[in-house]
Amino acid sequence: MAAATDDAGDSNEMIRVVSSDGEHFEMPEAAANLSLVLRHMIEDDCADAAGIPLAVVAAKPLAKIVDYCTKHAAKSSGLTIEEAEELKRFDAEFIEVDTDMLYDLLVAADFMGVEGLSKLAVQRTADLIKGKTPEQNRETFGIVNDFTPEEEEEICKENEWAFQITKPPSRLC
Amino acid sequence: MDGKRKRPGGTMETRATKCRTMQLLHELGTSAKIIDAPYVEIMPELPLDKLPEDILRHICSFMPLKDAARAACVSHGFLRCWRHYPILIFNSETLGLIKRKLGLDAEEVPLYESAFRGNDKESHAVSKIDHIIKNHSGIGVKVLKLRLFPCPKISGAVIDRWLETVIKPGIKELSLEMSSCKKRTEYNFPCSVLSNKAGGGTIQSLFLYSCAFHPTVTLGCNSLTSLHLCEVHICGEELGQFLSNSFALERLVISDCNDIIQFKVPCRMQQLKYLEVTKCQMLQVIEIDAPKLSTFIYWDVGVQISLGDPLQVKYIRLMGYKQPNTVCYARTELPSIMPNVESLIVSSTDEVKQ
Repeated sequence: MAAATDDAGDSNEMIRVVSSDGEHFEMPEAAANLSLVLRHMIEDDCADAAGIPLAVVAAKPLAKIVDYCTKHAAKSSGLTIEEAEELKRFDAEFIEVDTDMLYDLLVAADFMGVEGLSKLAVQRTADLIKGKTPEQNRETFGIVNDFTPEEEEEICKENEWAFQITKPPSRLC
Repeated sequence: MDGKRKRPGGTMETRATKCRTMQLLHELGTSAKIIDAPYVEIMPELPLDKLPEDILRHICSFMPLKDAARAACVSHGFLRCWRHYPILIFNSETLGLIKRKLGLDAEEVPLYESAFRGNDKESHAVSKIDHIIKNHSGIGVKVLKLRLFPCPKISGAVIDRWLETVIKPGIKELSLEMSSCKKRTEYNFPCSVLSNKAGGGTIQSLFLYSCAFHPTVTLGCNSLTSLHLCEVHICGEELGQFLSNSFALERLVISDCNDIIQFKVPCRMQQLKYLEVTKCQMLQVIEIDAPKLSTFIYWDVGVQISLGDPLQVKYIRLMGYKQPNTVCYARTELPSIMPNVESLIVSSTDEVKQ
């Protein structure tokens, strides 16, 4: 990666960030400002040529986050209807990821304080969980059933209503 | 990291700014030492329910009630989230009055009412809501919406109990929609749940549909920004007094409230920006001093209107009802009452027909 210009006061300055596995990334300052953590680091004058280390964000999700922030920063103010729709399409394609990447994005966006991305990842996860049975959800997300049989029976009984495809008390059962 | 800082000297400042970042990371729920730690291995893959609990709760809050309840059966992590699920919305679907197939291609099919006999529908809904509310008392519910219009026979005492159990300081939004079936006994909204000890101090949005609301003279909600009353029995004096005690109100919608004859608010409504008064058949007078009012939607040109002076209203929608002279009124009278209008929409079906 090219060295970042160390020119304080230049609003087009590129900000360097370093992933937990040591990869360097660059993005415009406006993009970095979408992350609460990076924005405060920049304000605190912690952004320099060596890059801001993000010790819990690996290169793979970080590359995605840099993409997201760069795209959204370029289209932040005064959006036309077409641009807003394009951004929506970008988001929809962006979040079509496997569950491993989705976990990484959930954690990384939360850690970096990228609000829009957090919401996008949370919504995507909620959409994946919706409409499934508990067993299907365990399979999809690699979750171990940590209930004892007694606990499971109790909780399923308590939330029995949520499984009812249709259950009027008298007929149609 | 300090060694790489560009700003020379100023150790105090360095410490101060660093503290701010640490503070921020702390607020974000992340251990502050992470940022100074050496590079660590790539995050190990985690099953979803091992995510930090605030993220998991966030995910659950993006799901409808029924899905969140079903997810509670997946694991302890999800069960904890369900116990803290802060948005309780009870409608035909959550009440099981609409059929929904499980699976990715979820589709909704209305369940024929004939499937329920007599009071079955009500007892079915009551036992469900009772159960959920019991498990969510004292966790800080933020939104409570009770859409009870499919169940006209639910007793008032039961609804009182639900409201008293759920509405605690911290509640932001309350919506109660009762059946407008004329045969049922009208529900009288318990004003005590809006006292400061209950939800009155924090509630921001209140929507009441088809019930009676008789606030006491001193009752007011100082965080309330939006109030919507539809088919509510409340008289003009009670409404005026309640509004005077709810000074943060920005948006007020009143429709089909036929006990209101004179709608006068004794105090200045400093924050009121949006006012909509429609289909109140008996209404004769609207008198509010609302210096920031910018949108005014009303129905009957026969009503005497005084909205304070100087008037900033820029957008008006006038929905003429059984008034033969609405268009004429809009052209001749309105400009003198509201001189700053930028946009005026007039609909007057009777005149178009002629």
